[in-house]
Amino acid sequence: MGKVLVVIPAYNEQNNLIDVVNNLEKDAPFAEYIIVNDCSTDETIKLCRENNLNYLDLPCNLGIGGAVQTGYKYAVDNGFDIIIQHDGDGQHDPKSLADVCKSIQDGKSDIVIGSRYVDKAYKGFQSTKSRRAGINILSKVIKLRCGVDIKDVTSGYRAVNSKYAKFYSTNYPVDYPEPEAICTAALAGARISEVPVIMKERTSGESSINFRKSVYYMIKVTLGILFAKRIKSD
Amino acid sequence: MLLVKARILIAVGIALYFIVVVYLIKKQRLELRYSLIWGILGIIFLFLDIFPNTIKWIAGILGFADPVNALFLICIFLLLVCLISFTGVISRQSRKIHILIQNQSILEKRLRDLEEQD
Repeated sequence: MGKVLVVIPAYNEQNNLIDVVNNLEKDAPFAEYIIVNDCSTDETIKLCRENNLNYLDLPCNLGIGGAVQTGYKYAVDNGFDIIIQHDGDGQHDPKSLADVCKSIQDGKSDIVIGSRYVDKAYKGFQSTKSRRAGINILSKVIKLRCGVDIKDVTSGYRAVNSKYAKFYSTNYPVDYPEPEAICTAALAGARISEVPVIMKERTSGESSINFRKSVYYMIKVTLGILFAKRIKSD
Repeated sequence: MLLVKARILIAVGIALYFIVVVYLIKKQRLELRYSLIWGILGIIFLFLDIFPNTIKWIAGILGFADPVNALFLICIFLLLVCLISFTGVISRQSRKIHILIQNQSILEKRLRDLEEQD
């Protein structure tokens, strides 16, 4: 199976983190995990220490992109074969972990996106209408720019093989990184596929994106995709 | 268009400006390689002060009725160049800080692991 690492970026996730880790250990015992505490202002780091969790502690807040990238660096340093991004807020179901790994294990894909939209039979949390419309637009922009057809481009549930983990460890977008990361990897030649996963509505905490931010999000991400640089992965 | 009095005043101003910039560099409050742009800016203003006809000439080419407007436009443009250069510096620094923070956290984890082993 190879060494599998689950990277859990965590910013103020004191209410969800323990459940996330417990579920992971229960439903995906083949995987190791690493929490990346992005300088939380709540008790997240205390929880990590007291429960003896496996964690990295960023001394300054870097945002989700910087936190995830730290996980990739850690994975590269420690020789992991498959790296899975998995949110710390309980939205992602560890039961889908094996599904996102499969295509990479078979050597068919370099990156697998866990998607809410490829198979409607998976009735999970589908997000609001306006948000789906936004995701749809970004999906089209990415298809236009990089030629890959991914439906759920904002999904933070994804698996990456060691080659592209190394790529991401030195090239990863800074804020709202998910769609742009698909684009840069595709331009570098990655084979990207999508599998259905179940996502739950967050149990506590608030989504980081409100209306004003979503306008900024669309503009920033679209520009990021259009300006994405072709970087060779080696 | 500029009276000799005004030109002398401007020259004194530019001289003061150079003194301040050199003083700050000597005190190491400014890094030399980031201050070069200020030096170039000062030289351009000094040149325009000594040869004010250049402004008239430029205004004529660009089609400004009043050379003073051309002067303002040139100033704003030069300042924009400075600002872009600084945004570049900030971007480079923020990338480096990012890398430092990430590596620090990975080292800190390794240290913790080693301490636990003992």
